[in-house]
Amino acid sequence: MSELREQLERLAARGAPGRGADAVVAAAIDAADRGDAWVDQPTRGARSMDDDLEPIDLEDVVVGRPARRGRKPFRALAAAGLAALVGVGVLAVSALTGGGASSAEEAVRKLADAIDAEDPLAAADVLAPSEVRSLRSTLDEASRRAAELELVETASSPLAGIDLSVDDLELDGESLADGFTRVYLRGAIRGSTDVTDFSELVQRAIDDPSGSSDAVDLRDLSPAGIDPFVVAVREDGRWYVSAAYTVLEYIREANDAGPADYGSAVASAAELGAESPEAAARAMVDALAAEDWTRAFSLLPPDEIPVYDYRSVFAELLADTETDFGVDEWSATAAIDGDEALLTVHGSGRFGDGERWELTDECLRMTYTYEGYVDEEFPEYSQDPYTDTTGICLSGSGAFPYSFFFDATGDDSGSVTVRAVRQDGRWFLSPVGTTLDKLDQWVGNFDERSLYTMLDLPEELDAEGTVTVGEPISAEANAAWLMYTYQFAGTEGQRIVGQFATEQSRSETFGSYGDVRIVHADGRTFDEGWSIDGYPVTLPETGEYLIVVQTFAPGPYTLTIWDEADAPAGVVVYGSDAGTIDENGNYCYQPAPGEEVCELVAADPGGGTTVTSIAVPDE
Amino acid sequence: MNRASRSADAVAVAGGGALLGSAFAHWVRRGPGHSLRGHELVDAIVGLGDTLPGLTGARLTVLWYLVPASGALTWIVIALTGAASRTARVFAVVTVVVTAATVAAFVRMTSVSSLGAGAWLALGGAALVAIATFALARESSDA
Repeated sequence: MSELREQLERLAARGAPGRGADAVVAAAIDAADRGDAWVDQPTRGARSMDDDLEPIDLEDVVVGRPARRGRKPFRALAAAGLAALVGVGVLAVSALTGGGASSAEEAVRKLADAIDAEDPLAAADVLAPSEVRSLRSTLDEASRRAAELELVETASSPLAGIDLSVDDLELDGESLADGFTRVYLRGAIRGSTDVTDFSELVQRAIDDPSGSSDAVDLRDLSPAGIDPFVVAVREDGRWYVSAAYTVLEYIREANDAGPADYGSAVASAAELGAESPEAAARAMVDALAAEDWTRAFSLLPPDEIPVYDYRSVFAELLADTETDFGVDEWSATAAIDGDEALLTVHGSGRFGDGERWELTDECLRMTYTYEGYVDEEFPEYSQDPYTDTTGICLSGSGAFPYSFFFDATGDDSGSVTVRAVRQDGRWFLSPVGTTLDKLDQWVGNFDERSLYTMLDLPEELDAEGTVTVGEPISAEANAAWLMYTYQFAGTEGQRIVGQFATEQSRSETFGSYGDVRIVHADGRTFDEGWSIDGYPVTLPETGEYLIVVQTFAPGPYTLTIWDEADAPAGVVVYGSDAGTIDENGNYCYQPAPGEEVCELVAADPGGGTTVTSIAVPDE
Repeated sequence: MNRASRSADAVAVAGGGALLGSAFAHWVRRGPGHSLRGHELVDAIVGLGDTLPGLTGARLTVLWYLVPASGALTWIVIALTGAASRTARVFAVVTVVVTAATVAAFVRMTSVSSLGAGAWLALGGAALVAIATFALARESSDA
């Protein structure tokens, strides 16, 4: 650069500028006009060409910008860049249309690829958006919770250790209606597990550390001998696999019913539903009472559970079904937030022959009344009138499945919560939203006690205390079927028996109290230890043990452990030293050598003739 | 056009190619989304309504597609102005910022250990563009 600068400075120092190119050209033109030969002549005052300036070699001078941008390689690069930019733009535009696939078969194949890759996100991308969007947050929370409790190694890999593959997949589409296609499947699903990729906690819970592998033909998975298929639906121009339509189509196919009115629910959403969440709830219970199935189906979200499309199918299937119930009391209050609402509902009424139903405490409870009977030949078998209450619930805590589906958490709310959604200005009751609300609550309440109960790992729990022979323990179970453990120090050959009782809660679903067993402190089981409530157990070795308590209903319980020889009368119910049932059904036992007591057996309130509870004699 | 200049251009073009290629690679190597490539993954995430605080689906889409777009634009800028130009350097800064922000969003959604080849390809490409325009191009202009 410095050399160039010097040359330019010398050029500038020459003074008057030399002839420019335009002057030379003008002179040449003039000469041509005159017909003279043109010879370049220096202008007056200009320096001659024979001056001392050296020619400036511009070959090596870089003047900010490369001199060869216009050559072919760079033009090609620019063109390639432009083409790539257009391609990216096309991809970006395609993103506006969301996931799914361009055809029904492609959607199913992408789902199969996602299963093969064990990729839940890829699977969700080809499932109907209306069916999976509400599930996403629940699954994310469940994955996070599972990682916190070390049920999985990381929340980002919930399926680690599970390998699925779809083999020899063949697809064949059959159009049901515009935007609805059955895609028949042929092939097999193979699954295997690698236990070493499971979390340490799960590995301890699995008895067989060798893993497993199995393959099943898709035809074997299909119910009722139907050729296996899934239904794909088109939404906003893209195809997705629909779990809801698949299930409904199987029902229709299995019952050989006529065609459904595909898409009618979404198309007429503005005319279905109800004007308010409260009205939707009341309309539903009235529709069920009146056996107006079409009206009942019209109150479900069209894009969530499209049973309205299948109203003629279900009307035919339910033609002989009688609900036979009435509503005596009803209240519903909605808390609305945008297009969703949370309904608090309480109701009660009659059904059948004087039975009663009640929506309360997150349960549908049904109370049956038994009139009792008089046995003249064996008066001791007579039964007084009694009632029995069963319920089906959605509970927000405890160990799955008992405390999720049964009245097991002692809910005192006195009501049931139901989620409603608004579409096209009308309100619908959302079974999926309602279930997911409870599932979210259950996931949120899922703790170590719930986890270790489900994995049957009592040794992982912190013991509630220590059991001393002869001293009762009183405690309270928060939910049904959760494990509570107590430490017990025993000696080899020691025979012990337990006496366990719970305060009967509102739920009498199972008709008995619970389960009490004994295991080694490290969780190992032994043959006799499966039940210690009324069963004498011989301890196999000297050491520490765990007494494991699981109740069938939440609430208080008491537990006392006795040495068999010191147990009060009636504690020992079963086993070789227990009593016997005589020919009249009386229970007889020997409280002391040479003595025998026979007592009336208390019938199981749930019916049947098996002895499940004993009237313990007063001390 | 000297050798250093050609080297700078070549490195920048390579960086642009890496940015473009990241659109077709796996950005997550394990867990949900690991079987989807680049744009398919972003489409799936946005389609399912997944968001991060302060980052809506639309913003994530724009942010992610700017990465391969930066690669394509790198080629155009290099072709027109070269790696040593001020335009190229400004563009390199924008590319690095966009790519870092996008990768950070993915780290937030998954984890560093779950990042796939696509994310690393994008980061590498952005780094190459920056090196080409700031270091290699400066050497060629000092020669």
